[in-house]
Amino acid sequence: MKKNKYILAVFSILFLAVACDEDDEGVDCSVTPEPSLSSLKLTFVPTWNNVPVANGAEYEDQFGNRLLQFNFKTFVSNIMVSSEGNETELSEVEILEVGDGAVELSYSVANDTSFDELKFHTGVPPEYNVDYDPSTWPNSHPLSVQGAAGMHWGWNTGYIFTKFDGKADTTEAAEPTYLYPFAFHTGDDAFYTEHIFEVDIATQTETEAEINVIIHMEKFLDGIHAIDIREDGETHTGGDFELAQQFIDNFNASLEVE
Amino acid sequence: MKIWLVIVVCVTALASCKKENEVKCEPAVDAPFNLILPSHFPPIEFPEDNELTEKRVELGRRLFYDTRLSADNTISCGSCHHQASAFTDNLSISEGIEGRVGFRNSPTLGNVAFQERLFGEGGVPNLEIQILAPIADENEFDHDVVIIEAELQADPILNNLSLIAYDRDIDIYSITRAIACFERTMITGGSPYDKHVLGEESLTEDALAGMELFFSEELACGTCHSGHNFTDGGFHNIGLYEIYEDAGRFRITNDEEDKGKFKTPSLRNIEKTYPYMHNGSIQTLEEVIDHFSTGGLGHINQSELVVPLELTTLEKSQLLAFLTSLTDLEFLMNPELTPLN
Repeated sequence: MKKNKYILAVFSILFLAVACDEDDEGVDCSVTPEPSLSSLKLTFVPTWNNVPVANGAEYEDQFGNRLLQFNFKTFVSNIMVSSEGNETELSEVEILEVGDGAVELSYSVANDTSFDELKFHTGVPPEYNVDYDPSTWPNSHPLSVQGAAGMHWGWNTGYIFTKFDGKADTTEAAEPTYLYPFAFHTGDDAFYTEHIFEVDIATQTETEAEINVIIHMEKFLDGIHAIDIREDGETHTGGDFELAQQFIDNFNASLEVE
Repeated sequence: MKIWLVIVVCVTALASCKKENEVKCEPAVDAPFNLILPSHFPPIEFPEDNELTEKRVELGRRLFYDTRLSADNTISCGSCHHQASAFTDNLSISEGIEGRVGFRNSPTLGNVAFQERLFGEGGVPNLEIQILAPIADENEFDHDVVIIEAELQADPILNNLSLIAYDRDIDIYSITRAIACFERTMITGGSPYDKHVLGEESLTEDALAGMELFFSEELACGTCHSGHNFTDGGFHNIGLYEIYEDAGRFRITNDEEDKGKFKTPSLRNIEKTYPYMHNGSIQTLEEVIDHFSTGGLGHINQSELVVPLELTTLEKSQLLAFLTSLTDLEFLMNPELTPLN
């Protein structure tokens, strides 16, 4: 009898311990079958005259300016793939930091599905831009203070959508010095731009589908508008909206799906 | 007897069955902060998620003077906003870490709770977001949020205050909100002018004459420097330059008509907030009065209110007497706004 008391006590406590879960909600033991998923890799590949960019390499623009150390960051939002009009959202917002090669993003999508369209916006969705407080996002989020480090205006409301800056040699000297700074910091709701590309990919189990988005970086300065950094080497949007618009036009034209 | 021992051991084990962060602080309560406004001031509109509480204000007060917010632990908000100078620093352009020179003259924080937009061009909608700017600016704190959070979370006083005030470990969310709360307690409304308005004291004869000039139709100073805080919250070009290096409001709107326009500063404690203008280019109040008396340099966007006034020496001294009557010594020495040890 005494032994039974011990067993009863221990079992009672163990029962309580099992019930000591993270919340007080009942446990749903029903099992919903997981949908069959496959992996989709979306890669943004920065190139300069069709050669993948690499940190430390020198790139020459159409005016003979030699760019050495440059950074490029941009927000990409509402990334979606479609299958005969049925859209699948891959991500609400991502930040791409280019300068040291391609940026790879991986998503889970429906298996055995053919996708015919890739759609995304460059920039930050308007509902999260002007007057939105970055400190309300967790640090892991691309729009958080940490995630968007260097990409929030600070003195102004909202985010820098694209940032292309660095140093260049503009002297044509035999020994380049790369002392000339340039900075194209663009961000404004007016620059939030949708991009739609036809794709032809099919997802299969154990095979990763891939979409490569090429960023033709040489077009940043030599696209719809010819921008000579010696004449127009700096914009922070406010104060030189025209140059910012030209840069954005060039950037938008630089994207291509391979 | 043994059964009770078993039960005690098991219950102890159960008690430890909690998430780690549930036992970080003792239960504590917060209470609304009793912010006393002068009776001739309008009420303050607080953000819904950041009403004033005692713990929020205390946390903000500690953070305002905490140099750990800067990359080399040398600069705090209080470094460029000294209480004795009405929370300015009396430099033309403020300096950040390692003596890096910033962009503008440090504005007063007196009555900042009433400001609708922050910074000279009015780009930032509230104090919570404004605080992010100096932290990230390479010429100010130049610091990394993750490092700040880690360092401050290791500070039991600050972290516990954050847990009580905002129900979370101290992070950039509670840092910005708490500092904003503290800044909203920087109320200045106890100057001789205020006491005159409330019928408690009379101004000197010179100050009264200056006040009459200030609000006269001819001078119209009170058109832009209006209301209880001596600002209309608007943006004006006062003809400081023919060509503005700093485009001011234009940086936000890209409207040519906004070039050289800056937010009207409050004139409260103006005697203590020298040097003046967005870039601290005018050293004394006498020179400021001279600028308005001569009518500005005629920038294309210059306010039509800035016209030659040809003030006499007496009128200038009376205006000066009125402006110095806006100095609130109680505010400049308010013990509730000093650093906490």
